[in-house]
Amino acid sequence: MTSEESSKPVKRRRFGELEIIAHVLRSDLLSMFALAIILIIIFTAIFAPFIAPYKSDIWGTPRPGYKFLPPSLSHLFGTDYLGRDVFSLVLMGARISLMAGLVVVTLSLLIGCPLGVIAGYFRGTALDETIMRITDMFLALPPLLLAIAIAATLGYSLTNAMIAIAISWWPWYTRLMRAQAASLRERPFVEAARGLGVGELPIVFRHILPNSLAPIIVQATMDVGSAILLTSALSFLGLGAQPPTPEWGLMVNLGRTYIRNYWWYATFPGLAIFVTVMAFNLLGDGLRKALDPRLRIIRRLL
Amino acid sequence: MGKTLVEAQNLKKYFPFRKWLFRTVGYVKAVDGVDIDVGVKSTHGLIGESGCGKTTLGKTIIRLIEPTDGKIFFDGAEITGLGKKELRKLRKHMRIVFQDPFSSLDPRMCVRDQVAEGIKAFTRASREEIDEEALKLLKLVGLKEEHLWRYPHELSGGQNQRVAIARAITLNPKFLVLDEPTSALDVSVQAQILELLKDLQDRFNLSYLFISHDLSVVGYISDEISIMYVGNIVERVEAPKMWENALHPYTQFLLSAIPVPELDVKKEKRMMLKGEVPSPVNPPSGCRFHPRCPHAMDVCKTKKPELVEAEHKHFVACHKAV
Amino acid sequence: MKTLLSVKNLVLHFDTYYGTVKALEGVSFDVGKEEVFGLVGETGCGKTVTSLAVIKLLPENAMILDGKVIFKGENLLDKSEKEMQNIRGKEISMIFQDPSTSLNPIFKIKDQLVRVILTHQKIGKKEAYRKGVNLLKSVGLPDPERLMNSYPFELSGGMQQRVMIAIAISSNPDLLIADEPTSNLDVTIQAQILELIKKCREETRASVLFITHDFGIVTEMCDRVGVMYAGNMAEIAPLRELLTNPLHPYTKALLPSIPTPSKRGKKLHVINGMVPDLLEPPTGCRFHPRCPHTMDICRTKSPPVIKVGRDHLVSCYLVESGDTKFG
Repeated sequence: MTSEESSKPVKRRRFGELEIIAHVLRSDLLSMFALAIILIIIFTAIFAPFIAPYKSDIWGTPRPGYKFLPPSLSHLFGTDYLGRDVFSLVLMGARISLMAGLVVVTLSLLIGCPLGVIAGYFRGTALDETIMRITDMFLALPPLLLAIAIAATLGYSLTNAMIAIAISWWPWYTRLMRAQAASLRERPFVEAARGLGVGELPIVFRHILPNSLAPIIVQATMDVGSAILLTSALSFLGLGAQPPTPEWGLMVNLGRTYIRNYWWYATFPGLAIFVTVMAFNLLGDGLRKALDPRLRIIRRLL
Repeated sequence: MGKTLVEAQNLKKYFPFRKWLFRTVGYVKAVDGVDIDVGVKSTHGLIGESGCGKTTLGKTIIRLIEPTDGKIFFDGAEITGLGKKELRKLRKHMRIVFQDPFSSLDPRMCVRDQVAEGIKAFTRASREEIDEEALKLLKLVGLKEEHLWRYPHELSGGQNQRVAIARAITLNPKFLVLDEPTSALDVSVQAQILELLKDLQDRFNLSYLFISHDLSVVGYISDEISIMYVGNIVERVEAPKMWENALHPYTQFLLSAIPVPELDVKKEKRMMLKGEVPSPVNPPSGCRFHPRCPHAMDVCKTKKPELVEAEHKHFVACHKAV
Repeated sequence: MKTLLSVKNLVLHFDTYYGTVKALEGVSFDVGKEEVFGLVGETGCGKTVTSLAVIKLLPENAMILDGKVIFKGENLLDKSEKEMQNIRGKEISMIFQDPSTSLNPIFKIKDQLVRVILTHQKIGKKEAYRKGVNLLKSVGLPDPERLMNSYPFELSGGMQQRVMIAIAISSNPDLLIADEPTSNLDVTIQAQILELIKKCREETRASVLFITHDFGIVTEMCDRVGVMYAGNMAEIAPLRELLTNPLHPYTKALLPSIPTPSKRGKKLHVINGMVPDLLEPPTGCRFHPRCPHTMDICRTKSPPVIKVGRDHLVSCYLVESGDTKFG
């Protein structure tokens, strides 16, 4: 009764799982490309005030006399109606948008996931029903109208826009989490854990949660992009960031009127939104491929 | 066979069958009045085809699924009515190994953690102590140190099943329900696992309820065998006797239906059973086997036969055989 | 014995994400007319892949690097997809393992059965329908008219498999490939299906390439048997010869490892180790890491096929060196 062949000695791998995911991801060129872009955006977001060529412009100091200069070597993206360097503004906008995206998604996750896990694990009980009905109510709220309502009561600001979006978004995570938890609850390894005498709470944290993360991570990654888009849209509509904040959506809105003659003011922030959202979508797609199904299918093929 | 360790009396498990959203239209009578017991350091084989309720019986007897009716005894004490807390403590003594090793292990936990779970559920051991114990158990089931850090998808079916067994024997249980433990494995791996199970039983005085549809495997490893058909035990006999003198028509049919890898086995023209296995929602009246039985008599249609002792330690539920 | 199918030296690799899987490394065997040839082996031995290669239903990442599949005198590997479509279902039919996934769930039985008949036979729709009903009757299905109008999910596994067999024999093929047709079925149903296959074979005089991992089924169904291991054909012999006088160390170890009631109380023979990873298979003879009689040459060169006696082929150096009695 001896054991099977061994190849190379393996030491303790605390994060063996992540190694595998990273390995698969590394080979997906599109995801790597997207990841590179996102890293650049993050870098920009952190260091914007230091790397922007015209630092004072960011804080809204107008520079008359430099109004609406077209793109040139000294002003890569031209200048705006206040004479500020659009390139510097766009760089700073990265910080604002990225922060908005992360905050919105994080808030939604923090509210939605725990509710979803509880509802899913206790599926069929009154607790589950209560949570899901509340979730349904919030699902019915369109982000836009909610944003308007909140803006009308609490005032126009980026913060309020983020809150509005988070309030209308968390139900999606609850739903997703609940579906995962409910299906995982029936899986043999959860039954096996119960058979071992493991308590309910440890089962939820040790088994249900980690195995539900995969679709959540994918969804959340893509949602960062969508959140950025949505906050930009709200700012575009005047409900979010207010001038002179260098927020991309706001800049697109302000540049809209000048699109004919001074096209650079609206175009470059718009391109920034586009590139950012696309990068997050691509990365989310790559993550979806790297997590679960692919690994299992390939393994079985062998 | 010695003392009885686990005993079930008139065990029943009905699953409500909902057609409309909340109305219970009927019941799936998965286990419908079963008496079964497993002795200390012995293997009781449970044979049946799919849908007969053997898996449900296995899970119900350790109260992983709650019984609808009946009594269960473990080591002399009744455990049917135990509350959640006491039941959880009992889990240390009775464990279960499932059929598909891949799905019974958490795909995101490394082997060491899977085994550790069995230990952590009942003790407060330190990380090093758990590492040591996990390694000891892995070696016991024939794996190596490096396997501690592997994930299920990196191991073969046989290796995963060994991990499942290692996990099941943490903290020295007395009783193991083995639900088709080798059905998903290759022939040569099956031999390894069966020998491992025998060895562990010898060393640790384990009792097994070995559930399978494979007559040959059950015949090889069991001390006594119960045959199950649509929720009931129809025959129960000491293993060697089953091939000598099967009494119930269903058992006789099973024996004739299974192809054996031995030449010149005297096979009278194989018995052909007509019909299909009945659904446990609406089982036939009287003896459940009567629509397919070549010896069905009138009484079989109306009166359900009891499991009676036809000869020494040989029980059968059949009007004709008795 | 006249040969219907002759597979010669088939080499097949799969191009996968993790590398190249060397699935078949020179597999050869013959299936005679009106003979049942069993292809036996464990997971990964390549038996299913071999049958798919014969009928040319391999996935896209499959690469046939060498070998021939001679059927009725012609090499199937040279044929185009269109030519193969004419052969599949008509001259060579396949019965798959899982009937529930082989039948299209959204079409009624009659649509699937009649379509197959019409594809290969030049008859009218009405006559094809009648033929279909008769086929269902001949495979032992009760109430065939009603069945024609049913959907696959309304049938049990056993009945679905009978429908599959009906479809497979609808155009009287010369070769029937059965890939583990009873693995998903209950014991009692398995017995019925095996009897049915025997009956079909007697009536249609077709040859059967029967793929299974169950030696019991092999004993019951097959005339000759080929034992495969990790992409190689280890041994081919008539049934009785294989069971009474196995020559390849793998076969010799495998047969005693099968649990039977007669072995109660005794230890089963355990083959150490496990099936090799076909991404990086062992050099030389693929069984050498687990073989109790490995010699130096086994590690370096793959053994040739040796003919022993009248009809017994073995791929092992031990036989060549004249030493057929060991351990």
